[in-house]
Amino acid sequence: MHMKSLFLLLAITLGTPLSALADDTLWIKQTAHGMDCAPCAYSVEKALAQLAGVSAVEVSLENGIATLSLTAGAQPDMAQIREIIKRSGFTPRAADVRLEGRLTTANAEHQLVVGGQRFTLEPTEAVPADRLDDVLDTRLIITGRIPEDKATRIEVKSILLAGTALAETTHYLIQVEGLSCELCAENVERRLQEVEGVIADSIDVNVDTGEVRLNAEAGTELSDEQLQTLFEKAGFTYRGKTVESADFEG
Amino acid sequence: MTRCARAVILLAAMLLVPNAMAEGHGPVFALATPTLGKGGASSDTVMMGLRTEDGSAPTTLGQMFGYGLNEDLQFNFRFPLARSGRADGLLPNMRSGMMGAPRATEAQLMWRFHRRAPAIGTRRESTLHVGIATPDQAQRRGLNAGESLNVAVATGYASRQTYWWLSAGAETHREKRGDQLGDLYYAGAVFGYRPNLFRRDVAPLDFRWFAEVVAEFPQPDQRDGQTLTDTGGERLLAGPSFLALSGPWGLSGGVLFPLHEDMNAAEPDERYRAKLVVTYWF
Repeated sequence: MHMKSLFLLLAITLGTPLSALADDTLWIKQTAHGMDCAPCAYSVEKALAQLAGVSAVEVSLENGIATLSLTAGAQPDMAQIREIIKRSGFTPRAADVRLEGRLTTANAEHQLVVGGQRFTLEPTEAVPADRLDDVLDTRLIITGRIPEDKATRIEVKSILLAGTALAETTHYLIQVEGLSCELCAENVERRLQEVEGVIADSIDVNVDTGEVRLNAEAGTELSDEQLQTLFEKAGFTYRGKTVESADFEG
Repeated sequence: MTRCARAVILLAAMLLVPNAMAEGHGPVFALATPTLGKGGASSDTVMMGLRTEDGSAPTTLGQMFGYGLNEDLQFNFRFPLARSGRADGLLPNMRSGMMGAPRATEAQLMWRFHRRAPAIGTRRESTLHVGIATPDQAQRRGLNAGESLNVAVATGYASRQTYWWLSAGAETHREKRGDQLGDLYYAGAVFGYRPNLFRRDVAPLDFRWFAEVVAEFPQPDQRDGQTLTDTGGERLLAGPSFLALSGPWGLSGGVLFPLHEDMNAAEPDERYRAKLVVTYWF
C-alpha cells in the first residue's frame, strides 16, 4: 500500500471533518466550445471570477475547459455560469463537478443540497440508487457530470463522506518497456495526467521495474488501445495492464 | 509632421486610452467575424500609412471604441486623431479593415448572425457590418464630401491552429452640392495560423500570423452630375500581418503590396500600405 493511501486511511479513521477535505477540492470544470484565443480566456476568466464562492478561475484553451475552484460553502449556480460563457460569445457544454452538500430526497429523487442550490442526482452504474439511499441526510462530496442541457442534474460518478468512501476507484498496474530515466517518468506522468478520469496525484512511475501505477475515478475505463497509443506517442512500449478495485479515492 | 511628432501622438493616444482592444481577431486590412461579449468593451488605436508612386506618404492616426450590446451585436465608434502627409489630405478611395473609412468619423454595428461552435476551440460564424460615416474634411479629392453608408459581410472559421475569413462590402457616398465621391466595392480574404509554440495554455504570449488579400474597386467620382472618368479603377493588394496578445493587450500590424493596379489618371498607384494597431480588452 502506498504511503499516501496510508495517510488517507489514517485521516478517515480519525474522522477528518468533511469540510476540511473539501477546502481545496471543490471545483467545477465547465467545458466551453468556441474559445480560440487568449482574450477569449481572459474575458471568461474575468467574468467567472466575480461569482460568489469562486476562489480561482483557470481557463484552458487547449482543453476548452474553465475550471472554477470553489470555497467551502459555495453555492454554485450552473445556469449562471453557463450564461456568463454564453454572453462571452461561446457555447457551454457539459460540466464535471466536485461539490459538497447534504443528500436528501424530494419527489422520489435524490437531491444534493448545496447551500441554497439543489441538484438532482442521477444514479449510475458506479453509484446506484441503493448506495445513495444508504447515506441519506449526510454531507457528501460528489463527483459527477452535469449534462449540457440540464443545469441542476448530476450524473454521479463517485461519492465520498467522512470516514467512508462508497464509490470504488479503479487501480491500474501497467507494464511498460523502455523506461530508463526520470525524464521518461515525467514524460509518462504528464501524458497520463491529461487522460480524463485518471487521478493525477495517484500516478506512480517506477523506471526500475517498468511499472506504472495509478488510480482512475469510478466509471473510467482505460482500454488497451488507449494505453498503447499513449505510450507509443511517448516513445515506449505498452506491455499490458492489471486492473483491481481500490477501497477509496485518492 | 515629423516622424518624431507622429510617434509622440501615437504614444500619447495609447496612454490616454489605456483600455484598448484588438480589431477583431487579427487581420488588419480585411474584415473578420468575432464580436465582443455582452458588456465587453474595447479600444483600438490605429496608425495607417501608405506610399504612392508620386512619392507622397499620407499617414492617419485613428481611434476606435467597441462595445458588446450582446454576444452577437457590437457597436463601434471611430474617429480620426491626426493626419499627416499630403497637404490636401488626399487619400485613395479605400477602407481600412475593421477600422473602416480612414479620415472619417464612423458609427458601426456588427451583427454576428450565424455562429456555431462544433468543437473545442473552434467556431464557424458570419457577421454583417453596417456603418455610417462623415468625413473629417468638407472636401476630399477636390470634391464636396458627403456622408457614406457602408455594408459588408464576413464569414469564416476560427480555431486554435488556423483561421480564415472571406468578406465583401460596398461603401456609397451621399451627393453633396452636386458632387459625389465614387462608391467603393471591396473584398478580402485572410488565412491565419497560430504556431504550435503559442498554442499551449502556459504560453505567455498568444501569437498568430496572417496572409491577407484585399481587392478594391473604387468607382469614378462625380462633379455636378458628370462622371470624372479619370478617377476610379481597381487594385489588388496582398501581404503579411500579425497579431500578438498578452493578457488584455494586443499589438497587430501588417503591410500590403500591390499585385495588380489599374487606376485611372487621377488616382495614384500605391507602393505599399502599412498599419499598426495597439489594442486592449476592457
